[in-house]
Amino acid sequence: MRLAYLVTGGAMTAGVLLAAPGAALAAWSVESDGGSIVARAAELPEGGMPAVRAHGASVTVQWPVVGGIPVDGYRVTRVDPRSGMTVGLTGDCGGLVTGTRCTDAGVPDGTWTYRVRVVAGNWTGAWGAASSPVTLGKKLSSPSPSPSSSPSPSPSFSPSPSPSPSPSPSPSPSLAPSSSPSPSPSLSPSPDPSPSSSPSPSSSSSPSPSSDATSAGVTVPGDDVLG
Amino acid sequence: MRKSVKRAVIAGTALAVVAGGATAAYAQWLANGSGKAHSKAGTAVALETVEATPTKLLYPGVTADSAITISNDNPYPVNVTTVSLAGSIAVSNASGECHNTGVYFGDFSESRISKGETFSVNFLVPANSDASFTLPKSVHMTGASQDGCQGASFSFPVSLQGASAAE
Repeated sequence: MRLAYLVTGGAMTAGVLLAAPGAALAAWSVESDGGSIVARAAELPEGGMPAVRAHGASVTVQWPVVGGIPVDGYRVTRVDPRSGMTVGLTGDCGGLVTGTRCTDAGVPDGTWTYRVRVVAGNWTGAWGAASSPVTLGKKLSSPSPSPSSSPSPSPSFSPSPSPSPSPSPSPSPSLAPSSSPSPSPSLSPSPDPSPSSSPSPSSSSSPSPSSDATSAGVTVPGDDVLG
Repeated sequence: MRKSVKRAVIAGTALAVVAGGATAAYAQWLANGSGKAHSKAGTAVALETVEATPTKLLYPGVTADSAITISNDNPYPVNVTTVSLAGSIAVSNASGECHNTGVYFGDFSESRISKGETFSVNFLVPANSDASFTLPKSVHMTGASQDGCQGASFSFPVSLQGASAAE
């Protein structure tokens, strides 16, 4: 009977030992009791201030790259600085501009500024600072430049015409009386044109230089570089 | 050998096999259990996610890593095997309308399309200590994120699964 107990006990021990590798593989399963990943979204920077350059009726607009965030592109707008009215652009500067430079063609005469904003996906940044104003075509507000240019040429011309009229009229009246007695009345019409024509050049020559200078001051080339 | 001895040997062997099999089955259940461990010997303490945040600000098109710190208050090390999204994303501090956040959690290691919202990892957290890890390319923001989401904070719950590890 003792032998039976011994054998039974040994077999049980062997069974437990056989199962031991399985027990060693056992592990406590552990989970978390919550927790969150907290992410924060960036904010797009405002667009950089563009530099503008006019060529006839076109304006080339160039702006700096924004740093930090890769963007899809930029939107550009033209602004009337006096009214603040913005103009939606088409062509090279219209829609999403993927580079940092575009040319606004067919720009109406006048003074304009340009502004740029950043675009990334559905995100848009704030409009950046306006460019320096650029003027195309003839300036419509001419009073300011015309007075400054007109005085400078007018004094230089005024002395020269004054001596020239004085000799020319003097011979013509002297001829008129001398011719009238000797011939018949048929000669009298010929001297009449000479006195009337001689005074006219003297009076018209003095004002003309001043008016030419005024018109020259109004014309402003459109391809000045501002900003 | 007498009959009684034979019977005893057979019975003992059968008992041993049954006992060993039961132990093995119990051990297997523990290893694969989906719940917290059940045992007379003690109770596993839940892991705590101390901090988890992407390593950079989100913007349309970006895929970011996440830094995660796990606290293990158990007296044994724990091997974390999965990190999973466990709920919907909450938005706060948005600058405008932000219903479509465009933010996703998952394994973006291969492309901008997630392989799933469960991240397979192998993070060993020592006993009674904290440890920090990186989940590479685990958060992505698409270009569909609304304009009003700029500057917003996004909080998405995650759960960790793991098992005790050998010392």
